[in-house]
Amino acid sequence: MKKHITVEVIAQYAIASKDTSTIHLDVNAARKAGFNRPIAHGMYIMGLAQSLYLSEHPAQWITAYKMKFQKPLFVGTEAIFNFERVKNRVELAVTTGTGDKIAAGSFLVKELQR
Amino acid sequence: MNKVQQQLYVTSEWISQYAQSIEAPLQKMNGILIAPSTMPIIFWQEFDIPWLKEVRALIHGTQRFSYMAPITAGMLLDCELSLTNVEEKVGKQGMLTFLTHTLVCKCNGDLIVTAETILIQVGDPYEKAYNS
Repeated sequence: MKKHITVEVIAQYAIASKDTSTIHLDVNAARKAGFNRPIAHGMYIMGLAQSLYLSEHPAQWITAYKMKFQKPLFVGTEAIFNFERVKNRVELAVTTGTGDKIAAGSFLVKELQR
Repeated sequence: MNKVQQQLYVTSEWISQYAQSIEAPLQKMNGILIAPSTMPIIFWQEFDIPWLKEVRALIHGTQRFSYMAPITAGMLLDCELSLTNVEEKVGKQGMLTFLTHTLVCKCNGDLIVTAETILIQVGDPYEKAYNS
C-alpha cells in the first residue's frame, strides 16, 4: 500500500499530537540536523500503518503493537506499507519508494465487540 | 524522581482529532468511540517531564503498546510516565544513550494500556537531567 507523505499531513499531525519539533516542519531546521528536508514523525508512520490496515479490517481491534524505527522518512516522499497476516498477528514493514527500510513491526488483532 | 503522573480525560473530540491526523477509521465498541492504539503517545504532551527538559537531539528508537482493554471516549485515565532504564552504547555516530520510558494508564484502578518508548540521544548525555 503506497502513501505520499505530504507537508500538509505532517503539519496536521504536528497540531494534533502537539509535537511541533521544527525538524518535522522546517527545511532549515532539518538541514541543521543533517537532513536534506523535514522528516516525518515516527509516530505518524506507526499511526498511519495501523490506520491503513484497519481501514480494510474495520471490525478488528489492535491489542498490542510494536515498531522499530530504522531510518527517517522524508516529507514529500512515498512510503510503502506491507502487511502480512498470520492468524491474529500482522507483520508490518515500511519502506521508501526505492526500497529503503523505514520501520518494521507487528501487531496483534482481535475482533471488536460492536 | 524520574516519574510523573497525570490524570487525563479522554473525550470523543480528542479521539476524533487524533484519528483524523493519522487517517484512522473511527471505531466503536458497544456504541462508544475507541481510541486508535497509538494514541497514548500524544498523552506525553500532557506531562511536564523534568528529565527531558535539557535533552536535545532525541531519536525515536522503538515503540510498544499493550492493551488490556481499549481506551474509550469518556474515560478518566490515571497515567504514570517513568524513565525505567538508561543505557549507553557506542555507535557509528558516537555515544548513544537509550532512554527507556514506560507509560501506564489505568481507569478506576484497572490497567488499560502499557506503552514502552525508547528514545535515543545522540552525543554526550546530560546525566544531571536523568539523575535529578
